[in-house]
Amino acid sequence: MRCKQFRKMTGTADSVSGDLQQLSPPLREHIEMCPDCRRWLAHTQAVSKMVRDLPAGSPAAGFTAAVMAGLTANRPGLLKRLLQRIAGPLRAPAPLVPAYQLVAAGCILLVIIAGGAFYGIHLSPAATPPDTGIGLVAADGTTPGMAHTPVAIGTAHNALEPVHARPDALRVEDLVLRHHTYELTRPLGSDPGIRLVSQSAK
Amino acid sequence: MTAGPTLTADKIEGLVRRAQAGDSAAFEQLVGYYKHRIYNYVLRMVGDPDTAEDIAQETFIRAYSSLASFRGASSIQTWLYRIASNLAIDTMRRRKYRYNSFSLDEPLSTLDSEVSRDIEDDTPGPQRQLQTRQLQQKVTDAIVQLSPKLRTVIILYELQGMSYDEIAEIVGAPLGTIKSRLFNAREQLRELLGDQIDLEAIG
Repeated sequence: MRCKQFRKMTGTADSVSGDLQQLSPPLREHIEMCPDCRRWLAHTQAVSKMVRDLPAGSPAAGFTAAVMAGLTANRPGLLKRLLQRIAGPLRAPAPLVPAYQLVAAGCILLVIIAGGAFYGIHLSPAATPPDTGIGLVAADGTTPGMAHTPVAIGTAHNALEPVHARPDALRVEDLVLRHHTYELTRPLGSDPGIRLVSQSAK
Repeated sequence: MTAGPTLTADKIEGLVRRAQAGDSAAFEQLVGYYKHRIYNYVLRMVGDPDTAEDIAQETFIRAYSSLASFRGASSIQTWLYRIASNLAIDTMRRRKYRYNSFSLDEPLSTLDSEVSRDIEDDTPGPQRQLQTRQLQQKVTDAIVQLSPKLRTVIILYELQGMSYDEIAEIVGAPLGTIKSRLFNAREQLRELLGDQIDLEAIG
């Protein structure tokens, strides 16, 4: 038997940390003949024992309590902990508007815009601006022909824009906003060619 | 390596089932029963008592959080060792862990005060005691110099007294691989310790 074979066979066996008498006859025969392997085995046995003899430590007295506290603690994740370290504790999010309210408001807005676009608004001196928008009132109040001028109701943030590129078409500068109402600064022609459009639609 | 009475396999199984059902007192008993083994295993793996304490605690916390998925295919002990192994190796890898050796005489700092390390030692005589501690320190240093794979196997085999089969189950490697790693670990330790090897120790 070669030394390498002997060491492989004994180095992984319990015999390293046990009784040499437990070695099989061929292994015992080799070690009796080979001083190098005898020395090797003695060193390996010593190393094994030195490791086994290392003293045991004890966890801290509060170990179990710390574990149990860790089970119930609402520990933030790593990312959140990093963010908190940078920006301080995260504020609670603002209460959200219920989704149904948003949907309802959207629908109302759509109806208003679509209705205004398709049906036009009666322009007269007596026209009353709606609460949420503006209306058009002729400055001299003598433009009955403009009853069906296609304009859309918008909000005070909207602007006027000529629909037709006509020389006599009403322009933004022909209007002045007073008390939520656009008033015409000149008499309207037969077709003022104006409409209200939102700024975002420009 | 446990403090307190040994629990039977049936008793442990019962505690696991109760803990799975949400009984935290049962889990607390399991922590108390296994904490010494897990802590000592991790201590030898990472070589630093404070880090070992953290990892050992995290081992139990992780175990609790995934207790529902524990089906008992392996023993709870094997399962805990597996979690501890992964955490220890992962921690060392992430931190590019540098081992800071600690003296067994060095007091352990706690939140309130400093206490001496609770080390079992029945060595007689101060001179012999000092020599023994110096030698133990060298062995500890040598173990930490091994690769995590070799370290895991030699600690589980020599210090935790586990069988090849148990180690194979914890590590998730074939039996032959475990034997080979044990052989290599012993060979490397023999080289690292050199003339520090105490031949008298084996009589």
